[in-house]
Amino acid sequence: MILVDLTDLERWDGVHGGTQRVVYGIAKELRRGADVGFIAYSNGWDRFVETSLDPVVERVERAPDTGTGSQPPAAPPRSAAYRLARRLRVLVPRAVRGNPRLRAAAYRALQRLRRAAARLRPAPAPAPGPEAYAFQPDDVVLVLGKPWDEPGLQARLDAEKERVGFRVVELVYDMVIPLQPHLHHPTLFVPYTRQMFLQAQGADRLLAISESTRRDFEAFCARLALDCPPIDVIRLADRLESGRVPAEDDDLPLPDGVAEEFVLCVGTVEVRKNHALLYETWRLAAERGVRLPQLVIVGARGWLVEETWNLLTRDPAVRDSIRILTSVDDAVLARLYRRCRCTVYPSRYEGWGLPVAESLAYGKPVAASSAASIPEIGGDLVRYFSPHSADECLAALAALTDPRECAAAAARIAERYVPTSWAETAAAVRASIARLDPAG
Amino acid sequence: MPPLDRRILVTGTFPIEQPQHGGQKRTRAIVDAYRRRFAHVEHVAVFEPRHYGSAASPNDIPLPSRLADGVPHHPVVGDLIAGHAIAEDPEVRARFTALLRSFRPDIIHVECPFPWLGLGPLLADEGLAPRVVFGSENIEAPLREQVMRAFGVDERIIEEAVGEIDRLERALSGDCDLLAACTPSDLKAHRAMGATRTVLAPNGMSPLRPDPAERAHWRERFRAAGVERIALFVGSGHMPNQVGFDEVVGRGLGFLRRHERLVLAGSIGDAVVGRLGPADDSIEAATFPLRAENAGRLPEPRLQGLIAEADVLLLPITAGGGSNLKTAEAILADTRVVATTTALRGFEWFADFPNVWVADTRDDFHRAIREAFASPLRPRSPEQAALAETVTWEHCLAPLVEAVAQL
Repeated sequence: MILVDLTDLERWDGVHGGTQRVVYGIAKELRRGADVGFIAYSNGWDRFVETSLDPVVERVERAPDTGTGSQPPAAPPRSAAYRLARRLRVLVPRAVRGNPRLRAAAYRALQRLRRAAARLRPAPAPAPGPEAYAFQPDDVVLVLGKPWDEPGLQARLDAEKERVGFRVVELVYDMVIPLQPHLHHPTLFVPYTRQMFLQAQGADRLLAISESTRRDFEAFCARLALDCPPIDVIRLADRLESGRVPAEDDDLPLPDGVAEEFVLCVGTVEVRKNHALLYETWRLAAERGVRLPQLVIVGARGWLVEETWNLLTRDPAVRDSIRILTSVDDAVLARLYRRCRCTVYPSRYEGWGLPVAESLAYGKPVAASSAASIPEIGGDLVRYFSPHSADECLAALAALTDPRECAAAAARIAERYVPTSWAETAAAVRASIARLDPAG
Repeated sequence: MPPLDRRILVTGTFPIEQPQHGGQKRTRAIVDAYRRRFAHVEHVAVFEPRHYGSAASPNDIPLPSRLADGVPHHPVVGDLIAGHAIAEDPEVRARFTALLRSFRPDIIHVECPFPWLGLGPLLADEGLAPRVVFGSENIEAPLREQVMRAFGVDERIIEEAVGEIDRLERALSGDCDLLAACTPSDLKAHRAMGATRTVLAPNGMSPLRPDPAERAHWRERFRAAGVERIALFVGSGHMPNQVGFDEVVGRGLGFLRRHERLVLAGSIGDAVVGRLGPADDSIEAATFPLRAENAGRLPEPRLQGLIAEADVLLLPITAGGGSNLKTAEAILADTRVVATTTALRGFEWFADFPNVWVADTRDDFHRAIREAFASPLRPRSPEQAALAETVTWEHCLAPLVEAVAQL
């Protein structure tokens, strides 16, 4: 039996980010097979329990489209510790929730509280709790989500594996936190780095979402004297495939403030994604009298971007040329992809670079940084620039916003880019599982 | 046999009241061996108070703060400062002089050459001419150079300090009445420097006598933490220990599995963990605690219990010319040992014992630890068991005591 861990997906109640899309997309495809089941980790009871993908599918596929944001889902069953932490979140003042630094501190405090609550497990349990999943030696546990967010998950998985003898396959998205720590908030450094260490030791096989991630993981293992398990690279799907996304443009209006002609940048506004370069680029264009279309940024406000946010939203020279949409659901995002002139992706580091792939899948030319995995996505179909050069970024955008060049680039993409479906990604996962050494 | 009526003063640059590192243990064993044979034996150390705290005897002389303050910047030259202070610092000189005048030694045993920097001139000024025994623990000049270089000390300071140490070792080797070396290779080096009367006095160890209650303490502690196998490195924060640890163990402990731990005992633990920095600063610092535990400095009974419970003893020594006390300790522990060639210097025969792995690169050292964990403990032959007994202090220092009695 292939057991897909849904711990992260079950607990996620916002718009799906990259990780949730991947878990969902692969899990949904895998469940077509009769040999697939689902489990989730309960930190309150320190055990894995059987679960179902159905409530998540219901939430994602059939919830009404709000046009601008996601619908809050029905609350899934959660641990007492988790519920306690969520309840206490309302005690965090709005001012704190709006300030990333204070939010980070509050997040850390809540994580500590969650862990403390988890430790307060009932010694003589008044009730037996949910039934622990009865693993079998020939099971394969597939962890695709964010186990570093779930204290105890990996330790329990390792213990069960040692006891039963099943096999484990885990997905590695990127190594930005351990290897490029300056590009991420320090909060996750220790849990994420330790998770990667434990994953290297606990997994029988790893999946990486790019050759770049594979190389980074191998470098991580070499530095820490870890025996690196076999790593298979899988290509992620690049279509927004939830039931809410129409196959063709729906002709509905774009969000307020979005111009007729615009360049789209999709991704959380955080230091790693390098929106600062876009500010510099639009500023440079204004100084040089180069006309660039409006920049539409789709992404929530993330880590370590206070200064960048200020520049993007308050500099009189560019603020009217930049529109930031912090909460956009798949249907609106598809609309934006379909109607933009081109997309831009200045990231300093990526495990993959899903927005680049999505842009190509929608037939839209992309100007992207040449960092890490990004060149693996579209090869010479993408116009590259250094993530450290506003000059190069401006040159790439000036070219792609030229109607003739843009049309030529779009034609090349239409001719040569082969989109990847979740069915294909799931098939690659299955192929990796098939390469596992026999149980025992 | 009644004690011989000799007045022997042993001097060095560290106290020996609560010996922790190898040099302290050797000096303590020498003093004890002398006291068994001679009627009057005193020890005096000129030492850095911040390194050794309150573990000193009334004879011992702490460096005044105006001198000690300069030491942390260039820790290796601390011994040189202590040596010079004996003649040049008024406070240290006055206390040392008072001891010389009251004790009137026939023989002065200088353990490591550094005290001789000030003691030679002071004896001349006092008109004293005792016999001098030079107790060598290493060939210091190349050792200190290696360590200072590993720690990135300024080249100018290295050149100056190493030159002075080299001159000192040569002078004392030539001038002393008896030279005691730890290893045959050191003995040969000192003879080349001019030593004429020499004796080989290898490092030794007291037999391991663990208290069952202490063993039970560690067993329970590791069981509660889910630890099934431990590799133990006992050592001081002495820089060669840190250098050796970095070279052949390293701070990436991915070669240890889920139920395995590296345990550091002695001040090496604080030294390694201290240099790792905060956990959110490097992947080594973040993951080190997953597979390592710093037991810190331990009282001797607790340490003996830990050694007895260890599955593998590690001797990751890559610098230093002397024989290592930890090697003798490992020989007497009669368990699995993973050691470098350097760590076995003076005990080369131990490499042929069962349960011993010799490895000199990081990859080989890690591999050897894994093999050791997986290997059943094999018994020693009666000949090997008898050979192991030769590493006790009593056996090792007997030639030195006899040679001093003949002076």
